[in-house]
Amino acid sequence: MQNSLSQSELDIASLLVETLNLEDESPEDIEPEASLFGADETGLGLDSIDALEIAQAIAQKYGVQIRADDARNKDIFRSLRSLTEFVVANKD
Amino acid sequence: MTARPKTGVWQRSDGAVWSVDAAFARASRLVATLPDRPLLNLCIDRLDFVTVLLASAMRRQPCLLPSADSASALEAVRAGYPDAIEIRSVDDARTPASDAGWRAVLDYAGTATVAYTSGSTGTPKPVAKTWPTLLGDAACLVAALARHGVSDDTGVVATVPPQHMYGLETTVLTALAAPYVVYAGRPFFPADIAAALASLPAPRMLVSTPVHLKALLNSDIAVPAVDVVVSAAAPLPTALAERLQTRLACRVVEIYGSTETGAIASREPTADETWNLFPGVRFDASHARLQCDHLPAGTAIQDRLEVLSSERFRLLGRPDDMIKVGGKRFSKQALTEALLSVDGVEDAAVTILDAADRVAAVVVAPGVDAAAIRSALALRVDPVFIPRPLRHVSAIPKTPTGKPAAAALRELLAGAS
Repeated sequence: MQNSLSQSELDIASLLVETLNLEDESPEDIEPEASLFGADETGLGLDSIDALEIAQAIAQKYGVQIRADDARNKDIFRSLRSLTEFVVANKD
Repeated sequence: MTARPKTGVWQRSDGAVWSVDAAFARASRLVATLPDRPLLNLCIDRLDFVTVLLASAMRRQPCLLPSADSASALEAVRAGYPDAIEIRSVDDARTPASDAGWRAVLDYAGTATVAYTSGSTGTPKPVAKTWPTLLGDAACLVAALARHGVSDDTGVVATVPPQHMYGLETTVLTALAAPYVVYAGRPFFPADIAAALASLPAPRMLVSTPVHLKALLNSDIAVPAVDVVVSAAAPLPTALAERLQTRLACRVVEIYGSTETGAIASREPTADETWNLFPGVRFDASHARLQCDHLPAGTAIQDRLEVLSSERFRLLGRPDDMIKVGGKRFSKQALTEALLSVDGVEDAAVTILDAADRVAAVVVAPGVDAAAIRSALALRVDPVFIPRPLRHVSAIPKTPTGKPAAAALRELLAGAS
């Protein structure tokens, strides 16, 4: 499968796999544009508690605080790529 | 004319406050625009939620409250109400008119809400409530919170959804019974919670669950002054309650209830091991059932209790909480607490492996090996209950309400030996 993750995407993918204990997933196998929360075929099917864990891990590692009443929140958590773009754009 | 109890408002993130009368005026407009079918209330915004709730009351139709906004949860509702209309938000285009007629509209004995319990096991189950039950529940809850120092004009920020009984009671029904100022949004991440609290005047109450509260404590966010933190939905570990009390300089209140009974008891876990029933709720003479004006006669508590008086009890365990090994019994919650008390264990969950009659556990404990955890446990737990396998993970799988997900735990442990 065509899959080209940038280094930052790979970093965030590793953080997801590690934080959420996604034992069946390798970071490099996560589809960058697949839905993180949707239960579609390529998506990870994460839930809201997972989102909380991800936000905590991102805050600890990158010093970026995620907000849900940010209007962009749905876009931020859409995919690995959108999440990575948000973190890269907002980190110190 | 008798004095009516004062009512509350919902405050949006733009600072606008909406009274119950204003919400009722919105409900009237909503009723005029929608087909006459039951409303499936998926609103996250609490003002929109109460608008749909009042619109359902105007039509004398049950307001349907799914356990989650997911395909399977909606399917469970549709099994009983195939023509229900899903509503996720309400249009705000017009300036609200004032309309004080809502009390009369709620004065009927039919079904007001049908809430679907999420449950960590099994399929969602519908639980119906009437307005007399819901309003009685709210009055008792407000009186109980007052005993814990919550003032009548408190600001309320809640991370729990209004569709769940706990969120419905604390963020929707309370505003029909007391002049609470309820933040309309549902803050989720620690930064959201802090911002929502800062937008409300003091005194403030934070209504949440152990999983959200733990995330808040673990973040470096500066939290505005909070007077009372309320927790429910899953047992609040005593250590977490103590950290909250110290870090936020607040009172920590744990609420006990179920979808069937509503919230009925509370305690401050840093000080009390036992629970006090709310004002207006008592055990009957047999101590087996509850006596309460707003609950159906004969309502019982499903969990195992030791009743200490007509108002006080000790919780012995939920029905699915007991582990039986070699004829001995122990509560999963007590074992989980024992694991959490071991230095270096950040989170833990226990389960019983179906095939082997054996207790198994997963722990988040970087830097402490299984042998060290087992020997620390051996000091306080009978050897038959010491988990084997005891598996390290980086996170405990949880259900959306923050309870350990039983099926996922068993899967995690299936490969371990």
